[in-house]
Amino acid sequence: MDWMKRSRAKKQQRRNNPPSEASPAVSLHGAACAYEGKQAVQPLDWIVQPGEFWVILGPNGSGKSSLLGLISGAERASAGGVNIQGRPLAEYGRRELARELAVLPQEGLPPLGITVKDALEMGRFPYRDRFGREPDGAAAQALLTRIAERLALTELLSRRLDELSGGQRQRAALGQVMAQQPNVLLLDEPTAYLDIYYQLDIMELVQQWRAEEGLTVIAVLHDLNLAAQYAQRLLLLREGARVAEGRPEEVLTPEVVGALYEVMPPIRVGHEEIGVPQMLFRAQSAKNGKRPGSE
Amino acid sequence: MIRRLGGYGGAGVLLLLLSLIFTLRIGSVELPAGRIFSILMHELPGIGKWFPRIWDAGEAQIVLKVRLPRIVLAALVGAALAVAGAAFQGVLRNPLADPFTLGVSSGSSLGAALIIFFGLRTALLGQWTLPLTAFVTGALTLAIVLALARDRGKLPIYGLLLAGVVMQSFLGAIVTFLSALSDRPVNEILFWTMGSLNLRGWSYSLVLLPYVLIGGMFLWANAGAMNLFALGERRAGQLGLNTERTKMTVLLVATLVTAAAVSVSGVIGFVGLIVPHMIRLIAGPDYRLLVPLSALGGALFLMWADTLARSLLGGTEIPLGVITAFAGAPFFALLLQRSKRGKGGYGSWTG
Repeated sequence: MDWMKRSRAKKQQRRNNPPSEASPAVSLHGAACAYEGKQAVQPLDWIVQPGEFWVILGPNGSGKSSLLGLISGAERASAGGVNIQGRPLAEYGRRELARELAVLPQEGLPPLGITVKDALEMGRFPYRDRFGREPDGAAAQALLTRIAERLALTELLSRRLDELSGGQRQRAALGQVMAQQPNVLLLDEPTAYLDIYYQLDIMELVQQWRAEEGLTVIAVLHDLNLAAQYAQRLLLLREGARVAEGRPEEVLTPEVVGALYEVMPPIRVGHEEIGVPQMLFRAQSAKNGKRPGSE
Repeated sequence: MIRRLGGYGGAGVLLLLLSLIFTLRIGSVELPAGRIFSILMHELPGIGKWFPRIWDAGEAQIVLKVRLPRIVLAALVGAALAVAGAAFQGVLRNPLADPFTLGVSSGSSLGAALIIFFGLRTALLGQWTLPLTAFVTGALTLAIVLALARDRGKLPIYGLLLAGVVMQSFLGAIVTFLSALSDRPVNEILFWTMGSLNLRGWSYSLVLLPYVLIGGMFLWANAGAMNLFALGERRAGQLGLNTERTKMTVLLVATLVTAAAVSVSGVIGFVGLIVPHMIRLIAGPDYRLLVPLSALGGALFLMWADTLARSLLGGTEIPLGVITAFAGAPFFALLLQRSKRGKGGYGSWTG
């Protein structure tokens, strides 16, 4: 436990002491992403403060995934720069970055023949030495036990991934990401293949984790209503450029959303219990089913 | 993990020692197991004096100078090929990958074929001319395959597999051509490419040993990384693994280990392909177990295969590659059958 306390203390220290105190969790300074001449993300200035929950919205091909790629280091910025915790992304070593920032992939974990326990342990990779040893084995074990309890995976620990349902595998993937103990979590359409139960399940678990540990979350979602429920702030992208930014109730207006996806402006209703805006769409698209961007 | 490694590893070492005694017994001269045991123990420093001579010098000669070096070499070659096979399957995430996937075997074969064809077997370096040439041409082939597969500083898996296949068929054609031109009654080129451990003294084992030890340890140290590869390269990268560098170094080391084995034994197929699969069925898909246990399994497999090769037909040797293919192909068909039914330790490839 000592080591965990120490690492926690170190993180705390980093948060409290300058220069990190003022430094945002993630910041982009004119960062752009281009492949083969095509500009996937236009130069973008964007600041994400520690503990914030951001959702990036936009139609297919609007650069959402490329933007996540820029932040996770999967894509190199063709212009400008990305800072994580106030430090340029390029200065991070791979393992160091994996301790700071984690990505929950869309498809969760593949249906492999490994056990859930093994899958969770893989999340410890960035902390382990070359021979797979933890700096403090007991603390790591305690952490993994706690994660398993929290995600209700304790019963499934010795089950193989290929015996689990898609939703359970996504939970295991979240557990693996938690084992990385990141400060920043990127979610790339984490609910794309899940039913409503598991969609809410995953989002709720992420929300709890954020509340308890001050985690910063940046998510790409397709579901506007899910986004409105969980996001503190939204970033709307179209053709690689920012269209709007702000709180869901400010940004999610029928006109903005209709223009963003090129559909008939949806009907906006307030969620009866939690008051966030929800969108009801009409089937017919604005321009006879043709989207100019998708020839 | 460590307890399981101890369990399987202990069982494997025990089997290896028992197999050593039994394979040493088999041959044209029958020797009782007890006597073989005493001969071996007598050679060990320290405890040798507890085993008084109850055998004659000829028997000791047969055991120590004829059978033992060959069996040890078989074990080393088997371990080398199986470890390399496990590593290839790990980083290429392909169940059909084996140590020869990147064309090393055909490169080595070409080197050996050229040496044999031009009658240079003992030129310059004596008995080492052929193994050294085979090693160098094998390594050169790897370099060409890597250059072919390289795409903007990365090594995409499909590129590697395709470049390997292309090299294999191209170099294989040259070897076949040379062997067709050869007018000797016994086609040495053909025999070399089928693999054999006949008439290899202790020196061959000594040359191979460092490759197996150092290479094997290096690959074992990368077993954790191979586990991450199973999640996909992208996810492995997100978990902090330098996937390109790992892929490069693991493939390089595995290939050098393979080239060393091939250069002393010729091309022995199926060991590197099926032994890791067998171990996977027994011990599961964790490479931290799979890599060391594959070494043990490969050693066991080739010890017995070579014993069959030299004893089945009495005086005539069967090429070792024939034996391993006979044993390996049906086993592989069985694996394929099981994988179709979906379950049974084979699920690790569905990703």
